[in-house]
Amino acid sequence: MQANANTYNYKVVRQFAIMTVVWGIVGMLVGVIIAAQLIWPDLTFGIEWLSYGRLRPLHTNAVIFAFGGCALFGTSYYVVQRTCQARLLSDGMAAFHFWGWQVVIVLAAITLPLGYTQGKEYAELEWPIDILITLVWVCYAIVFFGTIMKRRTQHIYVANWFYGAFILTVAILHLVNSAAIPASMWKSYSAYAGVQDAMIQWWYGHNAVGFFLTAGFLGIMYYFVPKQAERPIYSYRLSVVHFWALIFTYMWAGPHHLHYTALPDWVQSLGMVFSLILLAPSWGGMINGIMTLSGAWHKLRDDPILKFLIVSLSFYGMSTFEGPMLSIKTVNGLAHYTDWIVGHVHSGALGWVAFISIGAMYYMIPKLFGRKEMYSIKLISLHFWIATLGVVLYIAALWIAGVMQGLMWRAVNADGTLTYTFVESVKASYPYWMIRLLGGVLFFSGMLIMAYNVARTIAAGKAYDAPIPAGMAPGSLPMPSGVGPIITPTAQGD
Amino acid sequence: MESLWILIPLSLAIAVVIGWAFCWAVSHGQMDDLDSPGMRILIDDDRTPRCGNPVNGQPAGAPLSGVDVSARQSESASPII
Repeated sequence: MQANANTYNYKVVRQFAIMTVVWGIVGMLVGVIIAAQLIWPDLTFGIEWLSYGRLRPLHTNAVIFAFGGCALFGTSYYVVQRTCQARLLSDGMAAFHFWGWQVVIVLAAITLPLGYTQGKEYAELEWPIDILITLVWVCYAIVFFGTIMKRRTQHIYVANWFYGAFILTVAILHLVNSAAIPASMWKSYSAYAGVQDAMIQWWYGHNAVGFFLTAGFLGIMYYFVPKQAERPIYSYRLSVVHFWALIFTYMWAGPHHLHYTALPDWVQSLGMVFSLILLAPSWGGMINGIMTLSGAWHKLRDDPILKFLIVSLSFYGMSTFEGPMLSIKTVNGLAHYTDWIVGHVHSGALGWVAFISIGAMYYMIPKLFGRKEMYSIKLISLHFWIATLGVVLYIAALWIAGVMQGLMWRAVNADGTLTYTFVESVKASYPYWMIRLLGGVLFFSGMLIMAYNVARTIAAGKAYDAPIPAGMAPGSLPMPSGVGPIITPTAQGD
Repeated sequence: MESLWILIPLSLAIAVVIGWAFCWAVSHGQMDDLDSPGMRILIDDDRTPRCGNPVNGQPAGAPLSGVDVSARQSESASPII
């Protein structure tokens, strides 16, 4: 399809959508490998670049930034164009965004197994890659906000606010946390040290969760749930209110990663309190999304895409309840460093982030290739059930393992000595790691089913760029306050 | 706790930016109509043309005219009507 100013730029959306599926498979495969390594440490024959320590950050970076990143970029470019009724500001910059990001991922896939790391969680990539990320990100911000400035609708749809907050905040987080002094091409030293570095790292880390993995994906939710359900968001007012509450509160939650460490007590308490407050705006989003189905619950019976989207919100609610609970110091005293934390992470990462992305992809991909729907609805359903089973096994196994580990580590005998050695807790964890591995393998299999379905859909279709609706003057849609839905879009505005 | 010398001013600066963005939104009419935007995305017709044959440049057409119910994925009619 030739690029012309009368159509939306779906090309970059197609590119990101396909890579979302590809990187999802790569990232989750690495996850399955490291889960297996915890059970069978000799699985990779002692090859240093396949060792657990090297592969774990490859897994986290691939699923968060490669899989999650491409899902966010692709959907944000789709949503911002359609809701603003304007083509992307610059095709060239959007293309640089796409290819630049793929280079970042490939560099990560090479450098992390080789052991080049800044040692900061979710910020392991060394300084040259950090610079490339900055350049790509600036480009993304310019294209995204520039497209909003080109809009032909006066109102900026709420999803774009969530995307915008995600873009701006991640930029600041990245710049501050990745500040480092290069010592050689692939080695740098953090600008911060000791507990100061830890505080900045977890200010970054939790805001990465709050803005990259939450605000961004709420942007996805606010567009694709109503579109798939064919119903408007339950309360548009609530979406605006909880947006502002969420972005303000998330900034302060970081210290809950550092309970009972050298971080000052008052900082820990501040983090704990704000983490508890955070439950409210988070659940605002969950309620808004789920209640969108009010009056249309029956659609869940037959629509597996809707199942993915609504179940993702259930896991979002679960995780945003679990998180504040884990932020309470006494709870954290038991859970920290155990598998409960890993379970919590994956409840959010698989249950919320992956499910909403998968649902959005199943909605969006057919439209990008001129198809009415995916090649096989049955395969979407199969994917849903396998994936859900996988997530449930994963989380439940690690809840049990985590609480068990925490209790074993703190058990003392009557004379005050520790009851268990550490290695005994490792041995006791094996059955749960087996179940977790099974859960992960199931989830991974679901992604393979998705890849097949996507490939068949693309093969049956053809790259399609939707036309931008003509004949609607800017702001011409009548906007009667409090009167009700718009019935005649062709009526010119007053 | 020296890192707070960066984090607290930075967070306050971000809070100021958030405050500015909120005031911008209010003063530029973003909060004037909180009823129709939820519907507007549903009116926006992103269905692909029938038979999967994309026709370049053909407008999607007025969303509420020529709605072909048979081409819709679900059998429920447009939520507007």
